[in-house]
Amino acid sequence: MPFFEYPDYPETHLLELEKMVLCRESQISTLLSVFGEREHFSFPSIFIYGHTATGKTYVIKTLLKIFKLPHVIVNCIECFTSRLLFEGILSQLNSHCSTLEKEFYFREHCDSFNDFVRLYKQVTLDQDLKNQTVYIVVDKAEHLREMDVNLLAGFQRLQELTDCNVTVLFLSEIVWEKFRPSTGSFEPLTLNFPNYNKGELQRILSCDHPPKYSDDFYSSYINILLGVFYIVCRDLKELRHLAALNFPKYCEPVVKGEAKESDTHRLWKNIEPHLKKAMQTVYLREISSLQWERMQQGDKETGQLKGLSAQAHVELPYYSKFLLIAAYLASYNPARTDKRFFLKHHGKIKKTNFLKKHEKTSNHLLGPKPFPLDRLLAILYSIVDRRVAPTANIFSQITSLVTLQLLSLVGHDDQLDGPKYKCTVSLDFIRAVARNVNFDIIKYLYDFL
Amino acid sequence: MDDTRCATSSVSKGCFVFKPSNKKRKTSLTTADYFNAGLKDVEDGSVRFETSQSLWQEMKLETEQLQEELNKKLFDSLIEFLRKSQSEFQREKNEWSCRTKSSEIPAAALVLGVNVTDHDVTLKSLSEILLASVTPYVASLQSKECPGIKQLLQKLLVQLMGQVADVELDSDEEKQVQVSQRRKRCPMASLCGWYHSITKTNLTRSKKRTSSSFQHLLFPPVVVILKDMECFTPKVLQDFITISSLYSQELPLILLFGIATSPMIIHRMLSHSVSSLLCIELFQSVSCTQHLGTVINKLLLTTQFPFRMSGKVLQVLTNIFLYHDFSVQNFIKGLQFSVVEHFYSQALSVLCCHLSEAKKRLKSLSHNQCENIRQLPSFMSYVDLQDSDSQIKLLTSDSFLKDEAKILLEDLHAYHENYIPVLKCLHEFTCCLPKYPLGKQIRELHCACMEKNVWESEEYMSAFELLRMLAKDELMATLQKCVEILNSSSSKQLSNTLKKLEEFLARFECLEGSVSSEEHLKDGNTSPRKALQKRTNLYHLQKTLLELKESRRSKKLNNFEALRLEVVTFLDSLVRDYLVPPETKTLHEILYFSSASTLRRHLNAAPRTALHMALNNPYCYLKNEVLKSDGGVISNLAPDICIAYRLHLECGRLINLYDWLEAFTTVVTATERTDSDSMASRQVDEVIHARFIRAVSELELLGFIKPTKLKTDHVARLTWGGC
Ligand SMILES: Nc1ncnc2c1ncn2[C@@H]1O[C@H](COP(=O)(O)OP(=O)(O)OP(=O)(O)O)[C@@H](O)[C@H]1O
Ligand SMILES: [Mg+2]
Repeated sequence: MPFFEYPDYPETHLLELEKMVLCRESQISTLLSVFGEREHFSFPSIFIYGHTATGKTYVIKTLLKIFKLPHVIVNCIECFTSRLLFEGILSQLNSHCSTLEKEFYFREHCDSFNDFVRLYKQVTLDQDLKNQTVYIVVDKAEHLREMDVNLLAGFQRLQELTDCNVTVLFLSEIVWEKFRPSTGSFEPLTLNFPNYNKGELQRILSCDHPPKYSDDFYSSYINILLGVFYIVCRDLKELRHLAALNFPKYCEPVVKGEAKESDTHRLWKNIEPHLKKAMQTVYLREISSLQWERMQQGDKETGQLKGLSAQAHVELPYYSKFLLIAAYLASYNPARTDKRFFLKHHGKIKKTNFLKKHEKTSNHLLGPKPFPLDRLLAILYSIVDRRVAPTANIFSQITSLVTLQLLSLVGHDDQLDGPKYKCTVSLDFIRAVARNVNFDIIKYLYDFL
Repeated sequence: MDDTRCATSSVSKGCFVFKPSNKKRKTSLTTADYFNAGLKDVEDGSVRFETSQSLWQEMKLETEQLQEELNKKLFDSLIEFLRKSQSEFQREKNEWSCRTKSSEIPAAALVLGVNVTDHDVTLKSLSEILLASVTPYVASLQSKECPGIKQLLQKLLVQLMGQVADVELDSDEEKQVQVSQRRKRCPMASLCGWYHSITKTNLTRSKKRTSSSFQHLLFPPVVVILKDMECFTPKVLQDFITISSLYSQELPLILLFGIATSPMIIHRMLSHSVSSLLCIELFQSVSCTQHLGTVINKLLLTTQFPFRMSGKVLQVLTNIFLYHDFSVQNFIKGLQFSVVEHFYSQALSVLCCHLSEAKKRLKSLSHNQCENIRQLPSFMSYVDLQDSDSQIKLLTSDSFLKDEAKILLEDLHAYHENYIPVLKCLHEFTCCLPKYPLGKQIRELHCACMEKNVWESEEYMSAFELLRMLAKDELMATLQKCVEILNSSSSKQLSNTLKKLEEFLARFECLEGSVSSEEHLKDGNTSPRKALQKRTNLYHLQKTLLELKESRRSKKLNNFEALRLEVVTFLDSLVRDYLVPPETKTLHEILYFSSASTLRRHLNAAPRTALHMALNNPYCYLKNEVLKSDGGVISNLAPDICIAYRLHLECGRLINLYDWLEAFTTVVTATERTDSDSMASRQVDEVIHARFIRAVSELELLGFIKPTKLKTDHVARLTWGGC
């Protein structure tokens, strides 16, 4: 007896759906009731939202496929212009009835929404889709906002505009309110796919157990895995990936004959530290999953592999280092205090003397401030021991630092108008650079006075 | 239209385009012509040009070879990575772990260093190697070509699919292109389709041809090189990766990121959800300083090439490298410039070639060239040292001069043959002394030796002080290395040295046999140098040095110490014999390029200074005697812009235009009306007014001032500092 009871849909299909999709019963039943019978008109647009890997794409795809409903799925990241989007929809519709082997291409031009409506009508007529609901699934719908303005509103009203039996499903990771639809939009039916809780994750993940091992064995592994990772990660895709990556390690004692499958405590002791390590490395993509697998297999070479972030050191030419230091000082010191730091005989200026009220907060908390080129050079000249000639090389070094993303150019790019920069490196980074040239940067920073 | 045919007879005032009927109507000037045209000393111009060209060709070949060798390790590991990733792609798709793991896009993060100018060469040779040995499908993208995802995919498709690319992204100009063949698909999907059709045909073709001349894999990966990762917009990159990941099952895409700074940038640019689509491995190229070291070793510290650089010139080039750009390519460009400049400016550079060839050329030298030899400073001082008889002969007889010059040239070449191995030996000794008194890199030692008599320097003395305390094992290892160096050198004079060193080695070995280790174990620490290395503190260092000195003096030298002293003394004598600076060598001007200032002027230009100089002191460039001024006086004959510039230097951040005009008028009219026609000067002359306006707008164009809204009738200064 299937969970869903809909006289309109064949029971075998319902049972199949139940087997393939877990923990989404209420969403599916809502959708099925909204869809109604094949030839009935449905809601013009449905907006489905939920975090990543909550099964939006998967559920909709499976649903439409199992019931063999005529549908089209387009991804807005891939179809990044409205034309690609239109033509993607139309050509998929066009090849709807034909076999997959033979590829049909849609040959006509479709630039505007107007064209799209016209061609859509034509195609549905051609494909004999007049008397059943066509579902258009627009995945990653949040990207629609960056495309043509009328696109979102148009799709919402597609049913009305084409006068066809069509329903548009938007899938997105963000809530409908954030779409700030333009006037003339038509409120869609919204449906939330909530995050899976631990139990649900356990159920779904346990489903794909490997053929060689028993169900229980795998689900106790998943239990341990969730115990470690559930606090940091609820992404089903990621968890599944991690489960697959680390499973060989879990099986190791069993394969070697050191433990039995039921020896849960032993297996736990074996896998837990390993998973903790995975959390700091593969999970953060500090090392790649391929490297991780090789490490598990006891590859010596990868044994002392360092992660991506471990190699933060950047070797720079001598003056670039000083330019960067100067830029850092200019970014984090108030301009008024330059005299105090860079004039030889500044007298006794105490910090309190030039402390303004609002400056009590650390400049480092506020982030870098833009500074003009002149100030950068003035500071540079006073922190480098020897005379620095203002050669073309010095200036091109500034530009190089910008291309390396160590400095960033602020504001409009009017070359003559005294460009302004910001220093984007961290305190740790600049301290390493300064140490390298024996420059005590802390002494020159207002925040550390 | 008809008019063009009889264009010359046309009376209408039109504009006609003449297409050059004959390709060779105006023979374009060749490089050689340019070289010869500007020559001050035209002697042997064409020979010099050809010599310089062939010499440079040889040097260039050497650098290319060397770069290939340097990159070999990196490239090999990359290719290994590509192979592995590809086999991963072809693995059984229905295996459990493959099904459950998310399929990631393999990506290699290539950390290439901040010397961005060198990346092009590296990446180009990389893609050539990949094309030759891994896959025919390599595309390289540059950030400036890809401001948006659309352009990125367009570039990618064009590069991979060539002319057949059907990139029907909505650009209007492409609308006319073969509408019938248009396929309505997303770019990535069409790439995928293209890949499948290509591999399918390859598959059938390779089945027919059983002979496995097929180099590539059955499913060659599609490699996309993103040359400058830092400069891509994060959004474009993220979109690209997301789209690619949609096809990761069908299209074996592999990404290569060229990274200039540190691999951290990946995490800074890509969100976790995107970076989790990638399987990133890290690869590091050789550091640029190491690269430079090899270049100097192979191009300058060798007798293979006759051309040499003076210490100053080398210093200029290395300074640009170390202080400014870290770019080996620029260093090589500088080297090339030096070669060309040397042959261009030095008439006698015709003799800057291999010795046998030089001797031949010497014989056929013209009288003028002989005179040139006589003018060489090094030759003049050589003449001074001769007795009067040969002085006269040298100065009058060309043939006598040629004979003498031949010997001198031979001597000069022999000097190099000895200099380089001895330098390398000395470097072996000094390269690992604590605090590196003579430098860590051989180029520093080389510069020091070329600068002056190195043995007179303080650093040299302190280095030798340390050498006299070397431990036995280190000493022997270094000696062994020196023997190897000398063995590979061809110099005849050094064969005695080689024998001597071998003898030293043998004696050390003897020492080991007869005196058992107890002898120098008494010293307490076997290696004072090792002890020294631990003490990084300068004070401690000095103290230990003193102590060691004391103890040495007090104790009688044992056998080992005596021998050690002998070795060090021998080394010292070698240095004094062979490492004399080249300037002391007669005729060194022929081989040595020494015009450091020219080089600096060309490679490290100071546009700001030059501009200031031109405007502040126009005489410097115009060479007009009237403009010659000493100090603060502005001549009213100077160009208007110079006068305006000089006046603006005296102002603050904001300049009052009216005051400026007043001052300008005063200066311009200063001598014209000495009788101070005050009534007329009240009323500003219209012409002067116009001249002033022009000068000011020229200054604005040059970026010295800009209009400001802060105050009416004022402009803002964009530079600072006065005169
Ligand atoms: N209820 C479920 N039952 C079985 N598998 C599920 C379920 N929910 C998700 N999955 C699995 O998780 C994977 C990711 O789901 P899906 O791609 O649909 O997420 P999504 O919500 O579309 O995420 P995104 O917003 O990132 O596109 C699917 O491939 C599917 O295998
Ligand atoms: Mg989705």
